[in-house]
Amino acid sequence: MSAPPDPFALPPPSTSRLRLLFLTVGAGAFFAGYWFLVLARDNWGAANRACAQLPEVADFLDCSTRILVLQALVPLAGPALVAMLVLLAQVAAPSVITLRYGAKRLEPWPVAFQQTVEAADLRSPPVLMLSDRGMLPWMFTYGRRPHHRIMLARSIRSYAKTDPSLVTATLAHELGHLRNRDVDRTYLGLFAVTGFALLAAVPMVWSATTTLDLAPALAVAWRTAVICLLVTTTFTAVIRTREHDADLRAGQFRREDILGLLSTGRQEQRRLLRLHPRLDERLKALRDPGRLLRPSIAEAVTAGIAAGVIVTELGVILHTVLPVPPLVAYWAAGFVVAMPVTGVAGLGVWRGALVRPFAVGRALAAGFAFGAGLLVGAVLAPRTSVQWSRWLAGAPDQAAVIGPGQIPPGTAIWMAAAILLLTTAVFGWLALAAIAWLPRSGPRAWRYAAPFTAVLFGVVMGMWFVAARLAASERWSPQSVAALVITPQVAVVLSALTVIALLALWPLARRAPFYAVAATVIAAALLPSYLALSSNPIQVTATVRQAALPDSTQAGAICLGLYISGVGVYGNPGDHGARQRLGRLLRAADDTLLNEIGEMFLRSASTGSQDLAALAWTAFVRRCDHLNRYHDKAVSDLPPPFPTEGW
Amino acid sequence: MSEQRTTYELIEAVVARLKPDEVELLPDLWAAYVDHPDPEHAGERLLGSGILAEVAGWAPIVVSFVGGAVLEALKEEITERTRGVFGWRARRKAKRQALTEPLTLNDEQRRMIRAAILSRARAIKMSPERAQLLSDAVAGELQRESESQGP
Repeated sequence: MSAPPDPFALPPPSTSRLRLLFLTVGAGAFFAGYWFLVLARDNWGAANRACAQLPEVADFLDCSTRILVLQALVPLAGPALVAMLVLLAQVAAPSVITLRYGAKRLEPWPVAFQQTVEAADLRSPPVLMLSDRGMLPWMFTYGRRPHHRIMLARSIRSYAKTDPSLVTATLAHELGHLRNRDVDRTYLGLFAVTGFALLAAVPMVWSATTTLDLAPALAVAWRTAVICLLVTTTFTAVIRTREHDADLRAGQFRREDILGLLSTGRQEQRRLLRLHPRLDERLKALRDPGRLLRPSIAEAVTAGIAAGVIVTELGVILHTVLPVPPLVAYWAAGFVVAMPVTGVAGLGVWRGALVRPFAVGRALAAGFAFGAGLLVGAVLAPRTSVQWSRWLAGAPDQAAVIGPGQIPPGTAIWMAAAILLLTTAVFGWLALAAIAWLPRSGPRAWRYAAPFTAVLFGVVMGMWFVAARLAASERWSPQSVAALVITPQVAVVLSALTVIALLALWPLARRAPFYAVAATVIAAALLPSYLALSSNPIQVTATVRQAALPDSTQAGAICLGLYISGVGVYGNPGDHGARQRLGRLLRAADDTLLNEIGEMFLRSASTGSQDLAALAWTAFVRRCDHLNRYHDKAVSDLPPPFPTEGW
Repeated sequence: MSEQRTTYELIEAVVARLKPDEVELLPDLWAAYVDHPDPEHAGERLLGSGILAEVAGWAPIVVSFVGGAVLEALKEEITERTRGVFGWRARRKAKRQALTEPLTLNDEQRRMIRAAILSRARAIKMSPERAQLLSDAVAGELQRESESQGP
């Protein structure tokens, strides 16, 4: 029989879930910031009107870009405010708790306490505080590292005489929390949840229900409710998992006592949500720690949803703020989210590999679940899941609506299949890497696997989310989306990553030849597919039925045509004739800025400059947006989708 | 008619019946309890271990259960004393007064104390045997008190 796995060889699940909690709180607070500072303030109508009045295209572009960048950055105030409250609460909590419980230092310690604390072998022993109340034998940890304290019920000295093993077991459990260093993190999590509820969720729902009609108020309320549910369930998952971890740690130095406590004790009365695992589960986990190390499907789904919400929000922001192509901005967003996601879902797969036999199938199922979570997150992300301009006249449409009704069904099915396959493949690679490297280098191999996994996750999420936004903006076919995203340069990056991923699995050739062959076959199939996709010409006009604007001089009619035809009026890359026709039409329009934009299109066509054409396109799209929202010249009820800038 | 007992004396007598060597632990526990007589909730504590331990010791349990049951039985009197007075300090003072004064219980109040003891035992999921043992000890002492008070 093989030795039981060391549950602390890799960071325990409670740490991963806490990262997930912060991720979700961050996403929710981000939207709250956007809601209060942009959407609810009429999208800064006065500043936008001032931009719309500028006579020069260059000034108009500068002005509108400045507003977009600021609007992208100010929602950071949401997470910043929550973070501030969390830090303040974290600083004040120890004194407040001490005061609230009328606690005083316990001096001298009973001998059993002294022995138990010594057995825990802590670098910095805690201070034991005796509360002025409490007839039941409870204890809990608090304080900040390295000055942790354990609060003891007033009756504890009495129980120390009548029930010494019970008291030392409870004390060992609390010392287990200190050994696991989860006390500060748990309080941070608690305050993050409280801060999110007080500063973001409740004010947002209140603001929406008091200022909007029923339909938009419901749209805000149910999304906020889902994010709150996600935050709450993740927090309770953190709390429950840390109890298992503390039991396991206590079991390392007071095994018999902790077994006795769990065997004879009874579960505290559950309130709304269960905050502690059931005692029978705790006993089973203590006897077989491997139970806690298996990849959790629920955790993968939750991580996927949180990541989906954040990449969608962050992608829109970075695309606006960073002076880089959209795909690079989305890769950056994907990578920022990929790091904590790797620490949650990826680490879960490696933890699972510590248990023998390792269920690769479960890792693949977790990958599939993560992909499904990403899909849900994309639809759930508040900023992009609703066409806010339908209800709030000033709301910007830059973030295309990623809803099932906005993406053509064929493209939606292909995209859903693609993300599910890709995340399953990344999880599969992680599982194989664990099989290859854990026996060879031990758990420290995770340090090397984690950054590469984060890159894989970042590339997959970034590419998929930019494709989703494109698909929602322009009703592209699957081939056109793939061709837009997988350019020859991107194909080189993807090929390099695939080859590195395959090479990293070389120890499998001896250890698990079947898996080695399977990985090689998959890589061999992927490499030519990148080349095929990148060499596919972009069929823009083929996907858009009406690719010409109406022959009118009225700016309103031209802009209506733009919203109906989308990027089709821009034509395929290199189609200078389309740009020339567009330039002539705009030059004759009854709006001076559109006239100047028309000149830009004509110059780009005559010089063959793609950059100038892209700039003119951005100016055209923004001008129509401004005319509609601030001049009442264009259509009053725009049909979605909003044409994509900068493509 | 003999001298009436205080709640503390009742608790002392109950502990003496259940486990005499724990009587010496009572003064410290009683002082703490009188300062904070609000009942402890048996629900999940966010930051505790989540376990209601099956303890062998009686003293803190008897202090908490009997003290709480007496307060429940004297609820109307405490409400009467704090009528027109606001704030938790006044209510706590009234509770403290009720706990330290000699007890004059009627049959209905004695019945209420027995019922409250069993209900609290259920709330903390005490084993039925221990709950019965405690209930019997309290009932015995209350009976003794009833007899000493006479008809």
